[in-house]
Amino acid sequence: MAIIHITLSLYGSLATFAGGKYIAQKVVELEEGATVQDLMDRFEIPYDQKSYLFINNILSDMPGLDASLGEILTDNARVGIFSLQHMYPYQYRDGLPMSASLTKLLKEREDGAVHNTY
Amino acid sequence: MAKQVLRINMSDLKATYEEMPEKWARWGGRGLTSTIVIDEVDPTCHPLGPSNKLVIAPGWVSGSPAAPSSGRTSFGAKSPLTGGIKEANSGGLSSQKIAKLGLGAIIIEGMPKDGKWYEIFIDKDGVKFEDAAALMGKGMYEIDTLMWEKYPNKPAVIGIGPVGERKLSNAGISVNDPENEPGRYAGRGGLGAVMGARGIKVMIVDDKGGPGVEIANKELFTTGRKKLTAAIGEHALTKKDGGLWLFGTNVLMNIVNEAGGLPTRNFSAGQFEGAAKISGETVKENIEKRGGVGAYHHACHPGCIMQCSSIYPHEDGTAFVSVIEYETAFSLGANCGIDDIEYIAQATRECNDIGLDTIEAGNTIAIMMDGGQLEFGDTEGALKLFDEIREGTALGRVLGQGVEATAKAFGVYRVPTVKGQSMPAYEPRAIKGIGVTYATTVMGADHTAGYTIAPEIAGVGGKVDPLDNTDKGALSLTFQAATAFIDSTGYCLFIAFPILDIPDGWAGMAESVAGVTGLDITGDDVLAIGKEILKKERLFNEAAGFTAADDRLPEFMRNEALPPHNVKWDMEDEVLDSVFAWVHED
Repeated sequence: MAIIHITLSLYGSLATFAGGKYIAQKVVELEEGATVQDLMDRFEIPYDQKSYLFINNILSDMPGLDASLGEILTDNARVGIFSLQHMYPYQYRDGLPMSASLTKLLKEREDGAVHNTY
Repeated sequence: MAKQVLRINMSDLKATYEEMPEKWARWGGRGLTSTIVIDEVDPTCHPLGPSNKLVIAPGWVSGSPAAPSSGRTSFGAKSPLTGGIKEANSGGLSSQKIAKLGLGAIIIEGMPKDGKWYEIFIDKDGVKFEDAAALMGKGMYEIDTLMWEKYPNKPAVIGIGPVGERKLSNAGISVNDPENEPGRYAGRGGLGAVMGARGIKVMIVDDKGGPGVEIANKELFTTGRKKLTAAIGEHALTKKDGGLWLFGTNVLMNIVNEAGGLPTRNFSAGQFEGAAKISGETVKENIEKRGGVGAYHHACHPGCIMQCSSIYPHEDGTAFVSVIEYETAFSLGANCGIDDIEYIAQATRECNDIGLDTIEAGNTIAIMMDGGQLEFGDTEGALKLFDEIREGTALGRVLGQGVEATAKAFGVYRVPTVKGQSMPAYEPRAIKGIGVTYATTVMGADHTAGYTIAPEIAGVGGKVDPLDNTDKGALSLTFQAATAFIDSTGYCLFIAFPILDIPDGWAGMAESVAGVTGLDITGDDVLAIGKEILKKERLFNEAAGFTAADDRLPEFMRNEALPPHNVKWDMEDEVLDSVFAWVHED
């Protein structure tokens, strides 16, 4: 199986899972076909502790949702995962590129796309 | 006892008190400053001339007992930076002290005939004018210290630095915080120049022995404030150990950078490789490591329970600066290609001292860099520019006018402004919704003009789709109206986070306002009241000469694709024009 390289950034309390205090940035080797879930498992990060998650600058997950776990990562992808303490108010992400799976999930929700937490 | 309006006429150095007239009685904060400016200021006047006025107003609930995070002071006038109406609000000590003196507003008008500068002292016994010659040229750190040495009751100190004395368009108004530091600014729009044009270097407000704030319906007020306090205390962002408490507003640096929306090197990119080094997470690590007076949850005004401010220490633990906001770290840092947090702390202190808005100041330095006057990333060269501004050299006076004037002086095409005011820390090509607000708000490009309100609360649920660009105009109007209301309350705008997600908090905000004022207001009235404020402000700007052509983002954003998303600003003009079309339909 081929190996891919992922640049992972963990912010806030999640940084402790990769040896940091409030920020940890690492290049991680994974097998081709690995998902976000595989990446989080590598560092034993509980899924319910992630909030905003970006893959190559695309907003792919939100606090309280699980839209990104099945996303397949590609070689040299950049993944940033934020803690539940982080905030990203709607007005500052209104119109931002989002992943197809997150867009679909938000469209299905009755409480809309504007909330801080779900 | 009805609230009073204190009118200070600098032409004859007279102060008069009048009962709040009925036409103004229902307003507070931004609603009141804008109403008074509209009633009393000729929209076509020169902002620095005798016809402009500086209006200061605490919010509806400021000074009331135990209203959480309610220490915002609104400052209003015709802006020398934008040429339109402006409200800028600040934390610090002033709002609660003005309110506790029984004052609903302070109107400062006229200009000293003798050309002198004045120190104004306000307490329960009235107003005193004193020659301020000995204070001229001094920065706000020294001014605040001198005023607390002179006046014993730890008063509010509202002042301007040398930039305001020179009446430059990027002059802010400083308000001291509980530690008597000058880091709280009504920064945007050059209102410090309006204060300077009235001949006032500093105003002191001592509320000792004042009548306090009358509560019309104590039961309703208590019910409302408790609901709001509970919502703030419960929400993930605003509770103790939440995002704002832990990292301050600079918690946004890494997240906006990951999103590709962090304006970098004069808005030429949306991602900065050095973002982590200047983020709230790094600031917190340094504060914990250095100890001393450093603090990462610090209240900018008494009674704030969100405490998003911080005190950044030197390596030896002594005080360096308060506070490195996200907007400050973006403008002085990423937008200048600078990843040195110690430089950002120093430059923030310079801004606080000489009286500059940090957003406009950093963006101005970025223009100099883009114009080839110094390299991106050059901290030494940037600090020399602050020296030029402090000393009032010819170059310093150009820089003190802000981004547009500096861009013209140095032939720079990439000018990230709307209505003369430069953009805050969210790139509108990547984050298109905020671009609609930047373009259409009467205030000029302003990130605080449109805070989110839940569509179901706003009564537009089902009618707009936040994920569809064609609805961005309706959303922006809703957000701008809600923000105009919150700006009138005296509450910090950050209560918007919990009241968005917790309906009881939304109701509590409105009930606490109704309880203090006696106005018949519920959560259902918020948007209508906010729109009333927006309409007045919009009509003022139209009378000042603004048209739909002013509701546009700069040309370069339509022409230049922004990495990493490689997107241009492609919002249709019809969407922008829809935001305020109703003003002439009603």
